Amino acid sequence: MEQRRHGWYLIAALVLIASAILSGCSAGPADHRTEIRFCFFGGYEEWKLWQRMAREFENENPDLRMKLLYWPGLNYEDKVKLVMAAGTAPDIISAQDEPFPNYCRLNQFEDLTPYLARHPDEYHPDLYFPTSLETFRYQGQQMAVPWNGGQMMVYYNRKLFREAGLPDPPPMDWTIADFTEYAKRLTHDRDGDGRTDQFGFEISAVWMSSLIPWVWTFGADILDPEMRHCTINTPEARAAMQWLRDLRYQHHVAPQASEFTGAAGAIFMTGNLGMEINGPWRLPFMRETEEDWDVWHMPIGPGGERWTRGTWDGLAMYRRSRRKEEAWRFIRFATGRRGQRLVAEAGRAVPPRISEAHSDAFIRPDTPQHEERFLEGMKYFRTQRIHLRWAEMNTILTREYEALLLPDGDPARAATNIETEINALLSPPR
Amino acid sequence: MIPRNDPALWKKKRRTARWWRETREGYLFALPWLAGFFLFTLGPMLVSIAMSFSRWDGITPVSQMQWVGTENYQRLFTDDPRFLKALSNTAWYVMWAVPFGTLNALAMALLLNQEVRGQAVFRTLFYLPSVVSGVSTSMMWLWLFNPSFGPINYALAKLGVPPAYLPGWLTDEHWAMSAFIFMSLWGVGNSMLIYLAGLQGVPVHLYEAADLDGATPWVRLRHVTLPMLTPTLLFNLIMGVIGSFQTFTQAFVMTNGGPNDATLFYVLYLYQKAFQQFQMGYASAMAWVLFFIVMALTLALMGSSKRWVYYEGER
Amino acid sequence: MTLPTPHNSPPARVHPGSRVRPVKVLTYLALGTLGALFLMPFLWALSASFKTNAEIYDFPPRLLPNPFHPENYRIAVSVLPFAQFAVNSLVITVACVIGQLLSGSLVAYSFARLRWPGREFWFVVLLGTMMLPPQVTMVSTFVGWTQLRAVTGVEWVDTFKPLILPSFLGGSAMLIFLMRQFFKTLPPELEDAARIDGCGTWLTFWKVMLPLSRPVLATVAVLSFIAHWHDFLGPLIYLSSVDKYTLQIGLRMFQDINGTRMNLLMAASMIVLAPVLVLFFSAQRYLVRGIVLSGIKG
Repeated sequence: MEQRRHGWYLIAALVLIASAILSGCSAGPADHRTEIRFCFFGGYEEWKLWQRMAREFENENPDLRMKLLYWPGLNYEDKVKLVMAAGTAPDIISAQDEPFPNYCRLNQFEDLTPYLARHPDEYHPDLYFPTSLETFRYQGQQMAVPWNGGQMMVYYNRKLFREAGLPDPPPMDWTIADFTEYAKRLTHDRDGDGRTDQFGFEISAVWMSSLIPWVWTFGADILDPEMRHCTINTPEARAAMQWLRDLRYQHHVAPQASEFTGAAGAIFMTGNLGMEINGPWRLPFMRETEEDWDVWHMPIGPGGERWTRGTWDGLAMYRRSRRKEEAWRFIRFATGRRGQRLVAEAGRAVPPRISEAHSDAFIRPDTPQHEERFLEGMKYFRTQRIHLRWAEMNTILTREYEALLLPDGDPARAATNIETEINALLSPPR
Repeated sequence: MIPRNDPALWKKKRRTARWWRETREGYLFALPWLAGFFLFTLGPMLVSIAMSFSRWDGITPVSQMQWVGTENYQRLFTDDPRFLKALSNTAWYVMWAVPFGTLNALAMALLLNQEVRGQAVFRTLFYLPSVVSGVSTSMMWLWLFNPSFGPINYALAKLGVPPAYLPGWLTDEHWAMSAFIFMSLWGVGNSMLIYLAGLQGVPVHLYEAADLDGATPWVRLRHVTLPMLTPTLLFNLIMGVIGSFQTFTQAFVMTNGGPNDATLFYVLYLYQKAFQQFQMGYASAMAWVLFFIVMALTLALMGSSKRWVYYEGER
Repeated sequence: MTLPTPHNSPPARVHPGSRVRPVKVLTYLALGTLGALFLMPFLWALSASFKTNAEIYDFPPRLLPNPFHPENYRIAVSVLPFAQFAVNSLVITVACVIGQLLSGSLVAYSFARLRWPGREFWFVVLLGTMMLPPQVTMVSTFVGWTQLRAVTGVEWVDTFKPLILPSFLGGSAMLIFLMRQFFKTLPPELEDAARIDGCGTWLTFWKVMLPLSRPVLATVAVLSFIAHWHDFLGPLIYLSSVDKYTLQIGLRMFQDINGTRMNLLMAASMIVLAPVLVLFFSAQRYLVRGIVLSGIKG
């Protein structure tokens, strides 16, 4: 019987230890400052940026304490949905453009229009890149304030350009035809083994550079302006698709799927790629390489149009927050001149506030690269209007884009499939 | 001498003091799990049943769920080709990954149960692919399967496969699923470990008896080791079916369903519906369809187990 | 009371003499080849952790980094509060393993050996809990934990409690199932002997079953450790503050939709991997000697 007791003692001891561990982690330090909770996503550059931002903000606002909720990885939006469902979302939420309208529809965000109206000179539309404020309007109200963003531009390898005898940079008014020609001249089988080891261009699988910017460049669009039906089944859009396929299969200046699939952008960093399309968030990675690279403008399409796809991230206030005034003070700081300066210094996205975007912090006169081309590119910066069912549309677009680029892909089939399926989504009833 | 295991006694419906004591003890020992089930598992399961008959965005209060009857279930089978695609993809994967994974793990465990020098090192080696963190594993596989840089195709090319015939693996619609099946074979460390544990449960006197009869290694494997391993085999088969049907993370990180939906796994599609498209009700209907498929397979396996699984403790 | 001989030599040794030699050679050959195959991805990760991000993709693949970049490790642990993450991971994981071993074995014993009405039904329910994809129960589970605050007065989310407590309530259904399968294979004579000696159910479990189950307990400990050490979804759902994060969340900070810092990710992964390898290496010796039949005094 003695032994029986031992067993129970052991269990009791373990339960005690466990409860000690459990209770130990809920104790917080005493602090009489008001706490504001703020959640955001991203890599560790963003983590460093927001830490710095919070520190400076707290110095200016001794009565407030920022609680940074950094939710990394690919599951940020999942976590946001969970805390919204539980009614305990943070006071401030960093919002991405694609799920944004749905959060507004589900009444999760506070209307910031009255807050902005208090400081008309700080939030005058002229102070912002035009698409940025627009991205976060829902039914005419400003539901979030943009804090950073950027667009796809051409990154090119200067060394390979020199070797191919191509002008560096290319002419300002270069066209899709020029682009194709450049890509051809940048493609080589360097060791003569019958297998291409240097390519002119990589057709991106990255989320936003895929099909849309090229469809725009060729003068077409995915949806009509009222977002009532799909407009992709046009000769222009099909021509864009055919052009992408030709780069891969006819001219073979872009690697086929079986010839390269590193992580996004990896081939450029190995020095075996002439040009790629990517956003400013690629800058920190590029700066770590030893390649000689720079940024240039997107080519002009057959119809004389030049477009690129851009996107913005915004700061939104949780509708059920109990510290709206305090939360607003942080949003105002982060989207104000000082906060935007810090965004510029982080060097991975364009601050939507024009004055800070044009500061040396973003342009970096000390580097050989021309980051200011991102600012020049604002002239043809375009955002995708986000329909409430964009997530589904995006899946369709991605799948058809992948199918299009497979050896037996077909522009007409891709266009028809996209059109049929998106129209089915758009036609009521849901 | 062994009244506890006398089925006749058990069958008696008379509720003796012993019956009450055994029942009390049975529930008492199972209490931790029963409590956890009622506290944390049952509620969400019931909610998800209700959701499967509703339309719900997953964010607004549950009270705003809109009852739609069996609409979600009807749409699944009549109006959603991607669902059928995801279902057939996953079924195909399970068909290959489970039997081959089982065989592979068993073979490895038998090999690692040999008394060899450096046994611990070999075991650790074989277990390595299963212990590298999920996120890094995906990155490793992306590289291994890389059609141009990856060592798999590098080795195939060295073996004389002409470039035109090198598989595109994850980038090729027709190869992508095979790549996932290969991956599953590599990562069988956990089932291997479980077989190894099972092998330790084979009583030595059985081997000794077999040796006295002059049994060959094959006979010993066939008539001693394998029968004694059947409980472990049953476990690994059932867990293989449950786990393979729920394959998600690797597909989510590595291909996100592509190319052209070739690796659109069931749960990946379910996740897209639930978390990206605000259709929690539809996703719940999918989840319950999966539940019944897996449950049917599991019950079939358990039912068949009476014929081929041998429990030493139930002689 | 007669018991099977405690003597337990592994099968391979039973055939002495020259017949074994070719088998041995073949065994080593198979082990070596497969071992190399299994080592390859790991070697790549190790080598990547010493390269620059661009060198990782060099072709043809180079195993030896040239030059070595050991600073990846320094950067990986310095950009994030890695030590804090490690402590958090360790606390959660160890607590979960203890809970899993204690509560899981009780439950498994009940399902394997005790006789009670409803046992088969509840066992199917236990299996059933694994069959519903967690994606559809996640929201209500999370909401439930959040609302526990209103009932209990203390905060549950953003603490370790929702991560640890379930392990003390049976823990993983899979591991309960595993232990049940194993308990069912144990010869009943030993228990009967213990009962005749006057041991109650509890003492039979504690003094007979558990000592006999070292292989499966070691396996469960390893599997449970790895599962919790590598758990990403749980901490992501329940933890919000960076100072409570685990290593797995830390790893994701190197992986971004816009690009992955492969070299830093791999360096960090190697650090995260180390304790698991040590644990496995030391636990696997319980998988050598077979049942410790001598642990019983009939």
